[in-house]
Amino acid sequence: MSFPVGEDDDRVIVERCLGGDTAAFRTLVERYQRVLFTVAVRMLGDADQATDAAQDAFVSAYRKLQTYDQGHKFFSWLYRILVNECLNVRRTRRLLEPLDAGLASGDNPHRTAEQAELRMSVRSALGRLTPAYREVVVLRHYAGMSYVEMAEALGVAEKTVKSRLYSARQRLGEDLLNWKREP
Amino acid sequence: MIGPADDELIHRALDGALSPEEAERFRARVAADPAFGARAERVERLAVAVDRLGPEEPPVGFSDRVMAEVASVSPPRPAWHRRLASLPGKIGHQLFPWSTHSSEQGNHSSEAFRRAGMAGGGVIVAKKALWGVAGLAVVVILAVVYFNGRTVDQGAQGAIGAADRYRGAQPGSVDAKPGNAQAFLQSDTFDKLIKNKDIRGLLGDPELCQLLTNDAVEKALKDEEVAAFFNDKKLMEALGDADVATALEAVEVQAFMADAEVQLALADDTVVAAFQTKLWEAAIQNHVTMKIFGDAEVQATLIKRDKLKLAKLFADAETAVKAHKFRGESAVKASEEAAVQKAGVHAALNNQLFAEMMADPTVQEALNHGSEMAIMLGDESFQQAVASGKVQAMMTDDNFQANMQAVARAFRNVRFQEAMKAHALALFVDVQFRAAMSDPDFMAVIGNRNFKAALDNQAGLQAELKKR
Repeated sequence: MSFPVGEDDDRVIVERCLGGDTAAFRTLVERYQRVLFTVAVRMLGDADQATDAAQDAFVSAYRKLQTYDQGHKFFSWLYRILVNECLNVRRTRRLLEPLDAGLASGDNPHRTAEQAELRMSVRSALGRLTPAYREVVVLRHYAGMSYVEMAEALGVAEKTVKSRLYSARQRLGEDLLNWKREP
Repeated sequence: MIGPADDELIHRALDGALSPEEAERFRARVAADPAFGARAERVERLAVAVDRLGPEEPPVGFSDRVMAEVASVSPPRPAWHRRLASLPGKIGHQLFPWSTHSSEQGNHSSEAFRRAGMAGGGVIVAKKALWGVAGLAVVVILAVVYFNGRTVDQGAQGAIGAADRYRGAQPGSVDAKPGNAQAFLQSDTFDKLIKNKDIRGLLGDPELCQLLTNDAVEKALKDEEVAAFFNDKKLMEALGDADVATALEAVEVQAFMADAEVQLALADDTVVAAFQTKLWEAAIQNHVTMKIFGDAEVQATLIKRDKLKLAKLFADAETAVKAHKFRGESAVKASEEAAVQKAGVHAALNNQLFAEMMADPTVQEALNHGSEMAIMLGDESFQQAVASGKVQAMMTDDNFQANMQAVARAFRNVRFQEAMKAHALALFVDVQFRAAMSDPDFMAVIGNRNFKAALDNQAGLQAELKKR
């Protein structure tokens, strides 16, 4: 699963916003709202809180648009703002305990019961991962980011990204598919 | 038995991060090793399950709600404006009287910002960045004074610039003749260069900025054929080739390339022609032949055969020495310029032209390219580079602009930098040398182990050259 990105174009839009064209920001919102909301839902496990976090992230990004370093990808910068917003939400609701997967939105009533059950299981398993593991899975599987892009967005080394992703998948495998626990 | 390395391979395959060779190895392993294949299959099953969850759709009207909230907050302003607006004391007041921090002016800020086409209040930022911007302005103003070769009629230049724009001339059409720093900053060239990531990186490197002011580098980069040389894909690939890299990193090869006589010899068409022949290529592949070539007596004999050519080489060497002397004088001049700039900082800060130029919307526009630009503005090397007539002349050169990405890429190459430090760049203005360096056969020669071994025996060759 990957999301549309257009980093070259993003920089042009940012320039327009900085030049006073507020309406240009809508393009960035519409381009990234889906991926940002998905990440927020997966990170927070709550659709309403994810909506607030994503909205606050966009507004915060607009406020400090002049601090965006155009040498980096816009989405990486935006993602870090979202993570901070999610952390703020967590602090306010003391969300260090496992996520309540049942609250997350996105169920499609027309899908089969089996699929719905699997989706619920995956959501639950994601919710049981530590935040560090959860975010690499979310960025890789739902934002379609490469190792390099994830490293940039998370501010960690590429090898750390790989290590976390492998460990996270191992945990998910144990949880979802009854993989044998690795020593 | 599946080990950690196998797991890594499987996960990287799943994430599409394998090279074609690794992918081939992965497929072969899956076909040959059932345990490995089963491991890969279970990871894939997990990925399919995770992916099936899919993306979540934001609530209907989400973007409208975001934009409604965005409309209610103060528009963002470029970083440079924040920095300039927070200039302290007299200068800050001169440039942006509406953004002073004193309470008596606070009530007028909104109106003044509207007049200036900007909204929001001033924000105090780090002093370092602030003085970096001020520093650039100082360098620019001094460059204008210095390169115009006269005392600036205070206020006149800014007024002329403003009048030119009012006449309808766009920033891009400003004639960026070398030496006119203000025009350069307002030019299309500067705008184009500063938007180029490679060039920004290039100008942000102090060592490279210093190299750019070197006469030999300047001359080379303005040469059409040199520009073509930089764009030679094969050469760039050769420079990136591990074998060639190893060869060029070898002390003996570096010494060989940096040696004045060797460079002059390489500039000779017959020598280069010899390097380019298949016969030569075959010869250096042959251990026995190389041993013979590596023999001091054989080398001496070969040299004796062409005394006329040797005389020509020494005549050329004399020219090279003169050129080197000229470069030395330029270096002294540069240091004097730097001293003048430092001594004039205080005076320049109180110069009316400084205020007018920095308050000029066109200059601001030219400077307005995000936070990376702000960092560059604070960089002393960048300031000196932009203030340099040489750099401006080079950057306004059509060939340089047409090939600037290739040039930047070449400058980023460590081995290329080393070559320039060894003054080998002067060679690039020579047609034969460029032809040789662009020739894959020649690059193969340079990277050849036997050739390097032969170079070990340069002592005899050098001694013989000196005798003559």
